Amino acid sequence: MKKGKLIRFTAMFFAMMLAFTLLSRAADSSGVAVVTTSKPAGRTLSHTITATGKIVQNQELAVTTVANLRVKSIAVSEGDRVSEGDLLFELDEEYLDEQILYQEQEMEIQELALADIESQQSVSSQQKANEQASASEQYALSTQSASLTLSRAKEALQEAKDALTEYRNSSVTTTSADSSVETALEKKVEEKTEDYIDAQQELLALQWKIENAVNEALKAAQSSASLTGTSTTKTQSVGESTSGGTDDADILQVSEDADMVSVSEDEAVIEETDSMGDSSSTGDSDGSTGNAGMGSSTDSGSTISNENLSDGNSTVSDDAVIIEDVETVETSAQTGNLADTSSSTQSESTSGTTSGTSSAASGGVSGTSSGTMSADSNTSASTSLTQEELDAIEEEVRDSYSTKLTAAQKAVDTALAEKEAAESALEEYQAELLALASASNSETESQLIANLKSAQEAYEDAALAANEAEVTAARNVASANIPDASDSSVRQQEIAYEQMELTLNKLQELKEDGGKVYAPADGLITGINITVGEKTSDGTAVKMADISKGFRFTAELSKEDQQYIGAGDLVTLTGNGGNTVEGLEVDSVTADDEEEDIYNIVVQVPDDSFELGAAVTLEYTKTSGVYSVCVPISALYMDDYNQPYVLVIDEYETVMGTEIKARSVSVTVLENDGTYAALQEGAISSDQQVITGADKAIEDGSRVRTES
Amino acid sequence: MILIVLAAAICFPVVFMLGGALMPDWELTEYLGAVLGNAEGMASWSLLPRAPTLEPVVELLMDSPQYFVMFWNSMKLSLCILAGQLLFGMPSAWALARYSFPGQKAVLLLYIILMLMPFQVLMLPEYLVLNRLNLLDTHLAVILPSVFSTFPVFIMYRFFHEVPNVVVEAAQIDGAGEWQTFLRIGIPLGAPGVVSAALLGFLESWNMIEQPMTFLKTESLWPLSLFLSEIGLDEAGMGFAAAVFMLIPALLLFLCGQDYLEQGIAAAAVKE
Repeated sequence: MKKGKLIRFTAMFFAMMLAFTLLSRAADSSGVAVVTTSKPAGRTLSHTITATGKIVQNQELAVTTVANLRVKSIAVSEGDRVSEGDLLFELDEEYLDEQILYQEQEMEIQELALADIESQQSVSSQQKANEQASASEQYALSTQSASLTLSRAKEALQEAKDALTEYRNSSVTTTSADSSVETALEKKVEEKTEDYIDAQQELLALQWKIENAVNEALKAAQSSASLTGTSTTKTQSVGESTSGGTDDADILQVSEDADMVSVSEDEAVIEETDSMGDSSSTGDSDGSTGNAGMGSSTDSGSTISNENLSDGNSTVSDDAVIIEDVETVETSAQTGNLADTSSSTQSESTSGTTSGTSSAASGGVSGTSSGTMSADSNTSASTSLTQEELDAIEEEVRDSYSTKLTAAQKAVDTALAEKEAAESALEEYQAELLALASASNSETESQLIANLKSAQEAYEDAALAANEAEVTAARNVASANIPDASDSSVRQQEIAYEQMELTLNKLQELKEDGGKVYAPADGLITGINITVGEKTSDGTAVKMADISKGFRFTAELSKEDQQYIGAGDLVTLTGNGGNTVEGLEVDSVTADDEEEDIYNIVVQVPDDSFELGAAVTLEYTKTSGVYSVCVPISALYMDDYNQPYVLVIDEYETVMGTEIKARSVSVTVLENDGTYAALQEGAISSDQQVITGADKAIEDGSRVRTES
Repeated sequence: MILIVLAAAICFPVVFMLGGALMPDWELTEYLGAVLGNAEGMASWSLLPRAPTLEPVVELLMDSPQYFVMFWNSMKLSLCILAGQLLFGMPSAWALARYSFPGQKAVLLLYIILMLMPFQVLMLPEYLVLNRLNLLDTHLAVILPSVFSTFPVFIMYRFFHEVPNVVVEAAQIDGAGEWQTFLRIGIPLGAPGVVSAALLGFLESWNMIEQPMTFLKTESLWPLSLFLSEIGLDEAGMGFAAAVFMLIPALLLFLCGQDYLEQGIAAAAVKE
């Protein structure tokens, strides 16, 4: 019983194994793709190109007319065939007349406007001339009046001096020595005054220059890079400082020379005074002993010095020499005006040395040094005074030179202080004189002296005023001389007029034709852009094809197609009606201007073959040479990188017996005509089976079964 | 008690195999990763699967046509060998047991010596002979050498030797020829020996590995014993299932011939 069961069980087991064998095989084979294969073969590829296009004219004509005219009638319609001289359309004559009239009136208005502009221009130019003339007149006038005032002040001063001298000469004994001392003092005062005026003028000129320099620096800064600007400024300042140093040394030298001269001359003068024998000594209030020598009364040209014997040249001396040389003041005023400070300094020092005046050494030094200082600050200011600028570097430079400006200001102050000191010395001396001369005439003299003083002040004021007046007047003249901006309005108006004239001519021509427009050549009307009753526009009125120039066929080709056809190939054209023309030569194949990968083909067609505008199909077949490895296009696959490959089959030995798998082979496609693809030789051999079709999607390594 | 422990130790591989056949892949990977794969640690095992599944079995039966190719190959080889062994072994064993001729002892001794020789010794000469006969890479290359194996002859010799002379002589007196005596008296009386020889022969050829590996090159000719050698960790579950199904025929045959086999083995053990 047990054995029978076992045997049954064994039999069942084997039956089950058999069943699963079949089942698993069925399951296995169901996943295998059935493929068709073929061997690559040698063949030729032929490309058939078909393209549908239309017949167009070789040349198109545009008939235009003047814009804004009313269309009365149109004699043709689209598609009409016209001969040369045929009426195309007619324009409203009445309206044409109106247009001509209107155009003429417009032209007249234009003419008048032109005349207006011309007269306006002449008036404005006259005004300009007037302004210039008045500015220069003003300049002349103000300079004249200033110089007049100046000369009057000079005269008054001279008169006051003369009066004083006369008075002193007339008062004989007691004050004979006084007059010379006083003259010296007065001279000193005058010198100091000159110095002061010079310094003042220098300061003014300096400021005037600063203004110019600022403007120029601004312009330069605008046009050049700021970095270069800074570096240049710095170098300049360095150069100036060195030159200033040498200048100082020179000046020291000069002042020493001046000392020597003054000492020797002083001695001579002392001797002279001694020999005269009438010397009177006076005690100075500031502690220094002053020897006042009075020269032989009437000699105004001779110079008498009052020197400081005890202190030598270290202390500031209050001695003053008055030179009656008004010219100096004037010249220096002029030079100051011209802002040539260096020359003014030069002239000042020269006058100081050569006039034989023994001016106090310290005074000389301070005078020259102040001159130098102002000169320095002047030059530096011309390059660096850019107070208006916000630039930090220029600000710095301005700061550095502002000290020099302050120095110049100080020089002015010093000069003023010296001048006042000299004046006070004179006053003191005169007071002393007054005290000494207890005589009855003292009042008169003091009156005269007061006169002299006021005259001197007036003179100073006049000199400064003259200076200022000239500067202002010169500015006015300069601004009046600025030329007018260019004006092309006249020419523009003329051009507009000429254009109007042209339009008028066209209108008149139309008028002569009775408002009718004719066909310029034989042809076919292809477009009408005008409407009866409406106005004409700027563009083309009527478009027409010029029949005499023939027809051509044009069509678009794809990029693939265009490489198989070229100029000179013979093609067949088939019209819609079935009429076929063979052996037509391709005129050109060109890339389209607008669309990429589109090419235009042009074929000239015989005149009588097709109608204009007809739709025509082009056909062309090109046969390639023989390719040795060609596969059906269905055998080509594309990988992820768009590279073509084919699948060949390989046989493998497995447990299941011989199995077939697909294997991919990369290939290079030489050419394809839509049915077959020519491959480059080498990738696959001609006896290899290539998969050309499969009932499932297959890839590299897929198990396949070939169709029997 | 000791026997129980020993029995458990002997049974363990079978339980191991049965459990493995029902485990999903992830569980097997977890247990055997250290041995078959690249995982760290020691291999471990659990007697019962945590997530029992028939997946490996289904995969084996439904998706592995290769397994069945090999199964039937094994069947073919084993049955052919078995048939050959019986066809040639029984007469030779009968002859050795019944007839006395000069050199009989020497032949028997030669059989025993040949029986003791391992395959490795015979491999090269066999290969050369098979190559000369152009039998390499065919099933005959495996079948023929095994058909003339000496072991079944030896087993059967023992049983035929035990057949009483009286019975044979009675048959001859009754007019039975040599063939009739062999077929009518020898085989029925020696049946236990024949069956046990057949069973042992089947098991040997069913488990044969070296011979097919050496003589068969074409995969489609391989027997089932070579299938397991192609199983990796990925298919461990399928491997266990395959082992189970490989065990079943041998087990069934063994159970069928268990009685005879025991007699045969005992006969072989009790020598003279």
